[in-house]
Amino acid sequence: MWELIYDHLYEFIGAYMFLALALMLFTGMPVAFALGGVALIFGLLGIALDVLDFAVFFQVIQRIWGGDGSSGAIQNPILVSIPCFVFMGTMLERSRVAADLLHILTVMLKRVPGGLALSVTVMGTIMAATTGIIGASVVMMTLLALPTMLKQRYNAPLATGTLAASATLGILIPPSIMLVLMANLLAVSVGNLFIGAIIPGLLLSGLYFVFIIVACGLRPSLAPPLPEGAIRLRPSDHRNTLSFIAVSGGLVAIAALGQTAGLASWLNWPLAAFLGIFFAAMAIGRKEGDTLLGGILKGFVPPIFLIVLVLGSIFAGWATPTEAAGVGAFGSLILAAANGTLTGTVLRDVVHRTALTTAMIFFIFVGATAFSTIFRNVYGEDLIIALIEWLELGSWPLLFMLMFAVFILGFFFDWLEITLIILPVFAPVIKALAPDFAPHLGLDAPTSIADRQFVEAQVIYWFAMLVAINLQTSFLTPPFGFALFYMKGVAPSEVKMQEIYKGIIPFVILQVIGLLIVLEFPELALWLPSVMLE
Amino acid sequence: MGSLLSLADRFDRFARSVGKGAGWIILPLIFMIVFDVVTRKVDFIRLYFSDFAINYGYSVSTILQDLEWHLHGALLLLTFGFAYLMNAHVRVDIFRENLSRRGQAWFEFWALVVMAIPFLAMMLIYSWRFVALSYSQGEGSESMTGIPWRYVIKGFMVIGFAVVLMAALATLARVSAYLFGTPDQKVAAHRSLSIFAHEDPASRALEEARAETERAAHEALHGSQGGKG
Repeated sequence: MWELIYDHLYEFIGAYMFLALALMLFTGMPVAFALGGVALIFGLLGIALDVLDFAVFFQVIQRIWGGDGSSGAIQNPILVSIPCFVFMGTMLERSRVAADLLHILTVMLKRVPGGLALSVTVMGTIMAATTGIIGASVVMMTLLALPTMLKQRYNAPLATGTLAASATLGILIPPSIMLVLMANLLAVSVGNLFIGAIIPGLLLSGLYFVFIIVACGLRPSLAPPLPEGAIRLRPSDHRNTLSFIAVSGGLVAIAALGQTAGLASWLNWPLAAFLGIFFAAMAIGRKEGDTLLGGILKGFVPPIFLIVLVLGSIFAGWATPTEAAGVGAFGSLILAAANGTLTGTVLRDVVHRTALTTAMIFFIFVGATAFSTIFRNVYGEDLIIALIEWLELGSWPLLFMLMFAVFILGFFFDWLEITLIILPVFAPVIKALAPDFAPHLGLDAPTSIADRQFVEAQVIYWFAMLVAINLQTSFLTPPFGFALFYMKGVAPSEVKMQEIYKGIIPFVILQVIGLLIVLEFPELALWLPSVMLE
Repeated sequence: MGSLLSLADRFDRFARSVGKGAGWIILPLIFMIVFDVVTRKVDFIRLYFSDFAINYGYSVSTILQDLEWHLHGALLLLTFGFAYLMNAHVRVDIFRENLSRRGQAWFEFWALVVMAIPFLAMMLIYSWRFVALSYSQGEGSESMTGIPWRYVIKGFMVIGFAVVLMAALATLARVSAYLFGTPDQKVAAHRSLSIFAHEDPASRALEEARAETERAAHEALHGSQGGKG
């Protein structure tokens, strides 16, 4: 009898471990404690069953530490970018950048049906390219736009759905901390994943845009247009327009001259001209104040400055993603200073919140590493592979099943837990099936080992992008969409949770459509990296 | 129980100030990255630094790059405990938020006793061995020209897990006081705990008012001989 129980446990300890984790997570203790506690208990159980010995706990510490090119939390130059990106995003939310951007977009789109909702989508897309975190951006965008939308008698579900979906684009559109973590876990290049995510991100925001135009065109009552004269801008001062054009033109001419006159080694002329134009734009924008020119300069120049600084330096190969993150964080400090919002209180608050967010991410990282180390050592991964083989699915049904699993998990969990616990389990399965997907990606079936590695890498990039889109959806799916909770927390009290749930449904459907499009056309994720990184 | 609560306050203050202080590490980290990127692009500084590497055997850029992840490591390890005290760690709140506050406290009590504290103690013991091994080997940077004394930054692992353990113990003391203590201690413990779901100011005020009434009732029943310690 005991022998039977022993044998059963010996074989299925990995399965019980997963089950125990699921139970513990739902008790509502901090996720990192659930992961770590289950790891410890099953580690001890494994030692009692002679599957493991105590050295496994030392291995846990080593894997949390990292080094030797492994994917640990501490000795890992790639992950240094995470605190920097968190700081950048948090700092930006405290500066007026988003408000200025929304203002000018509203002015420009006021004649289009659903103009305010479209402005929110465009703002979400642009801001997404400057921040990589979610919680705060949902709060910020809701506070900024929802009261105005409700005052214009926008349909509340449409307004909240647009806000929630647009605000979560930041997790997908680079720079995104989720993509950094994914690249780290999958052992692929962050830069490549960043570039690959641009088109899928824009595709989703395009889908939102089309949906809003169609819905508001068909039923104008959803989004009444702004009354004439609701936003009145002072006329621009032509001297300022002229001086801005003159300064920019002059700087570009000087830079071109410097570059061709053999002084290129002395100074980075394009960069210097870029910085000069930025400061000129900020100064003139401030002088102009509330006019069309001032609005455009104040609204568009800061985010473009940051996008060029961060993504530009990665694409141009000047900086690694980590360095780009540091430079971007520094850029956000400059922006806040130029906007006059950099005070001691703001800085203290941003530092404080950055510390909390960083700790939150990496504490789960620590727990998940403990869990996955023990899980691997009790042959849990072999158990999963055996289960998949037993199911005898083809490679396509399997991919659909994995996607469906991630989608369903997204109803209950956050991207962080799914990425850190599930991705290391799923990725090897997909890697093993890579040759099956090669024709779909427009690649030949691999013949040599080098060939196979290339195909595997491409399939993994594509798979990562599918998971990334899927995980953005996890923010939106009731009952446990983080974005919806954050939104409810700061929305005016007349907005009911039911309305928020109702409003998000079309956007979740759009997410699924976007996912299917990238599934059907892998080029969307793979083409840009192949061109940019020639 | 009273002395336990004051010990909890001391642990709490310590973990909080360590975390808050460590948060500022982000600023030197950012400046250092910018400095490293800029100086590598400017020729005369780069040449000066390479002379330095030849003369002294340490490369400035390697040291900076090592220092970047050293700072990153210190930042995240030292803020774990602070984040727990601020309830910043993610929870799956689906069922928990329907529980009474007392039920939530019971869940937290068992989570701490069974899961968190043993796990953190294990991490503490093994990270201590990890550091001891590094020290006995005199471990330095892999690149030889980077920062030596690897065990120093590894030591932050021990400190970091010790600080989270302190935060967990402080919370355990408070949860126990909330569950088993006198009404006075209950109020004090509730005021300093931030583990509960839906802790908005309104419901917190309501809870305090309720506890206050309970205390008054308790005093009316047992007379006012003071707390039982």
